[in-house]
Parts: sequence; C-alpha cells; structure tokens
Amino acid sequence: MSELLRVADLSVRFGRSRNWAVRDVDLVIAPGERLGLIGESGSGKSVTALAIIGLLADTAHVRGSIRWHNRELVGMPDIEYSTLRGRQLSMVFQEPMTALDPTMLTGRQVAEVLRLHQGAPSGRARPRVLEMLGKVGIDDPERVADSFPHELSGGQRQRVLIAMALINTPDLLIADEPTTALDVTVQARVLAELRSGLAEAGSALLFISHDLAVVSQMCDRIAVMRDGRIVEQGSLTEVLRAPKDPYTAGLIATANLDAVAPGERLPVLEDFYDH
Amino acid sequence: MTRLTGRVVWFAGSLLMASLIVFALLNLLPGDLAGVMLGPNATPEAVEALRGRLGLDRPWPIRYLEWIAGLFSGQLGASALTGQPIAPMIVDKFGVTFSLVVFGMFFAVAIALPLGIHSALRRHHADGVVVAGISQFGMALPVFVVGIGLSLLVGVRLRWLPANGYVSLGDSLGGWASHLVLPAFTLGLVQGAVLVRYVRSAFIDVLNQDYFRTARAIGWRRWPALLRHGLRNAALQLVTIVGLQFATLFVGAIVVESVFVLPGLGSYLLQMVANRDIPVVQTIVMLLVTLVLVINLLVDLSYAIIDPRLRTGEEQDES
Repeated sequence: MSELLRVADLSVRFGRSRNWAVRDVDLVIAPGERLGLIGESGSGKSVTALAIIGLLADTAHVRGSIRWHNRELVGMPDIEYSTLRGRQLSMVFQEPMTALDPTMLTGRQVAEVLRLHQGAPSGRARPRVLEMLGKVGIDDPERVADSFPHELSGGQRQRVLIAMALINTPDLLIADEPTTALDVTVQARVLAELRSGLAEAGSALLFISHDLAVVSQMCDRIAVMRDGRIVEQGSLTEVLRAPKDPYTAGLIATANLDAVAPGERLPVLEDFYDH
Repeated sequence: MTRLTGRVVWFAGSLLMASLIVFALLNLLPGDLAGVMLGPNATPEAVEALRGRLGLDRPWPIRYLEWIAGLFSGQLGASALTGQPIAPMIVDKFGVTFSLVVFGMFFAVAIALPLGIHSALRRHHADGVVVAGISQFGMALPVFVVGIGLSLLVGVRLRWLPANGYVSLGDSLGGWASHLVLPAFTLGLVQGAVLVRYVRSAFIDVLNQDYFRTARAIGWRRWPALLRHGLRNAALQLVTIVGLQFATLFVGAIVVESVFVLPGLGSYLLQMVANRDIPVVQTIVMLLVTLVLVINLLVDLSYAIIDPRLRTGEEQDES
C-alpha cells in the first residue's frame, strides 16, 4: 500500500514538563485519503498536527518518527522543511480573524504562496490567485484580493486561507478546526467548498475537530484521541457502528441526542466507563 | 481627513502652549536681562533705563507677539551680550547637532533591530538571553563614559578615527563624516541598548501572532517571515519609541558634544545659559521644542501609513 505520511510512536512534551502532551501516536495517511482526528480540547490533536508540519514551539521535545514520502521529518533542518511547507504540506488554522497579516492586501498574501515556491512574478500570479479565490467560494475575487483582511468577514478570511493552502495543490492539507470560529450557516458552505477544493487538488486531508458530525461529513477514516493517545482508529462506518473504546462510544452517544427519549436523562461520557 | 486635521490642530495647540511656557519661564521670572547685563552693582535707575532701551518695560503680550512674529519671519534677534544676530550661529550649530542625532539614531536602529530580532527568536536559548543581558548592561552605561572610552580607544590608541574636533561639511566631506562617526556611534550605542529591549518585546509579540504562524506554514523561514510580515506590524510599536527617543537623543547630544568637542547646539546652549543670554536661550529652547513636536506629529501620521486599519475616512464607498 502506498502511503503519504506515516507517524510512528510520536511523543511530544514541552519545556521542563514531565507530562507528554502527545504519547506514542501512530497514524498513516494514504494519498488522497481523508482522516479525521477527533477528541476533546487538550487531547493533543493540535500538537500532533503542528508536529507533522514542523511548527511546534522551540521548547518542544519530539520523540518518534514522522515519515513523509519516506523522508524523516523529525529533526529535518528548517531550510529543507520550509520547502515542503505550503507546497507539499499545508495547513489551515482555527482562527481566521487573526491568521492573515493585517498590513498586507489579501491578494498579495495568496500570491506570495505561489511566488515563494514557484518563483512566478507578481503580475503572472494574479490570474491564478483570482481563479483560486473563485474556486473556494468567493463571489467577487477582484474586490477581495484588493482588500485588507479587516475589510473581510470571518468566512471570507477563512476562504482566503483555504485558497492559500490549496493553491500549490499540496499532497496533504491539515485543517485544524477550520470552521469552529464561523457561524453555523457559513460553516456548512465553507466545508462544502473545502471538499470540492480538495477533490480538485487531489490532496489528502487530516481534519482535526471536536465535532463528530463535522468529521463524519468530511472524512473516510477517523482516529480518536484522548489524553495525548490515540484510543481508537478505523474506517468511519466501522467506528460509528461498533466503537471499541468506551470514550468513542460516549462521544457517539452524546453527539446523537435525538435518539434519547423525551424525559430521559441525557447520556454523559462517564456512563460508558465501567467503575 | 478628520484624523489628519485633528493631529495638525493638536500639533498647533501644543506649539502655542509650549511657546507661552518657554516665554513665561524666561521672561516673567524675577531677574531680567537688564539686571544680568549690568551686573549686581548697577543702580536701579541704570537698570530701569536699560529696560526702557531694550523694550522690556512694555506689556508682556506685546513682547511675546514680537518674539513669535520674529520667529516666523526668520528674524531671530541678536545676542544680548555680543549684539550679533543669532540666526547664522544657530543654523550652523543646529546642523552639527542634527547630523549627530540623525546618525546616532541610524546607529541605534542598526544595532537594535538585528540584535532585538535575534534575541526574540532565540529567547529560549542561551545566546538570546545573553543579548538581552548585554543590552541591560549597556542601558546602565552613562553616555560620557562610553564617549570617553571610545575616544581613547579608537581615537587615541588605535588612531582609526579623530578622537575629537569637527570639520564642516563645506570644507571636506570625508573630514566631516570621520569626525561624526565616533560621537554618533557613542550616542547610537547607548540609545540602541535601550531600543533592543523594545525591539525584542515587539518581535516576541509578532512571534506569538497567528499571522506569523501562517507565514511559516506557507513556507517562509523564520527570518524572512519576520522581516516580511513582522517588521511592519512591529514598526507600529517601534515608531512610537523611536519618536520619543529623538527627544532623549538631543539631551544625550549635549553630553556627547562636550566629550568630543563638537561645536553643536547643545554646548552652545549650555554656554548661553551660563551667560544668561535670554534671547538666545529662548530661541534655541523653542527650536528644540518645535522639533520634538514635529517628530511627534510625524510619528502620529506614520501610523496610518503603517497600519491600513487606521486609514479611516479616506474613502467611504462601502457600507
């Protein structure tokens, strides 16, 4: 089986802390595959993602292995790593309001991703930038490209960031709660645009979320994290039908509150553990 | 437009207030020019007669307006002691001090920017902490100690540059520059040590911003990411500090001019204060105050150039 990314025994801790934020994580992503990484806040999802793209804080200690196209990423010098980021491997973050440089026109920021890796002169980049903005669901690409970030809505900004992440047709897009900060109606549209953008670029996806409903729309496989460990992973249908870990079972039950008969107590996570 | 006019009105108001204060401090306090010129043994009649000749017996608003009108028309008046017109003197000496301050600021920024960014990027490592520590030490050094030290080392022992003195720009460009390098570097070194800390904290701020992480995620390395997306954002904080530092540089320049025997405005001002030559002192102080206010105005106006979010009211074609 061909694989894009293989994470093996990955553990991360910060500074002098004895606690591992991520412990012995194993993940495999095949080309074009969509893996959902789900878990509560602080479970280590984002740390895992940042470790893969190599943007952990200076104080992080990383153990284990992350292989990308059979090249080891752990310990790779930044000069080499930087040529992968934004070209083969890109990322969209949770907070669109602050993720763009407030002093630069958004069009230039998108063009920068192209020019950084393909060396295209600024004039030639523009048609490609406008085309890309259109593809991620921006109705008036010209105006958005000539706006500063503060002149755009949160949904528009996140689309701009998705355009930046996909413009070089990366092999893998890591999306860390990309719609959590958006309104519910905007969220559904952005997810749909993300799906079609990914399909066109042929990129694999690592989708991080705490929301089971969103993950099940986006992904074919799912990994469940808790306290820095992966407690369960498998195909989406398999995990949803027959969860092996009590935490996963609880997650599914609490996401599915419609099934509870009126008047009965709502399920909580503790119900799924034997004491 | 509203922001711009607001700033300009504020500037004009501050200038008016400052001129009134300068005038009041030097003219309305007891012990005026006539008494100084005639000395402690003069008779009250003689002092009164001189007051009449100098026009000091007229009401103060008239004297104030005369002074202001003179400043605007370039008629700066004459020294009370020598009777020489002061305008040419001030222009010459101001040129020396101004070049000293501008080059000093250049050195300060040239020292502080790379060191500050480096110590921000490496704040969790030994070398970053060492740079921050050295800047702390540099801040504690008095300007005159650094000046004398550099003058002795570079000027006297190594003989790389003149230890002191001045050559005017008109006489020789090389001479002018070589005589300014050490004093300006002295000024810049001490000011730069202060500035390093501000640069460091401004860039640590940038490093924690989401847009810096985005810049890294699209493939910029750390230094280019900081220069491309951090410099402008950090500049917003730094421009304020640099503007304030211009005022301290003029104070520092007085000391540096004495150490390096430069014929600048600072040493001239000290001499005129000692002589109680009130017209000269008054004009120089007003000139310095105006300069500081102009720099503040420029700092204020630069915010809108740096940060598009502050460019409000330029065009309102959107709802």
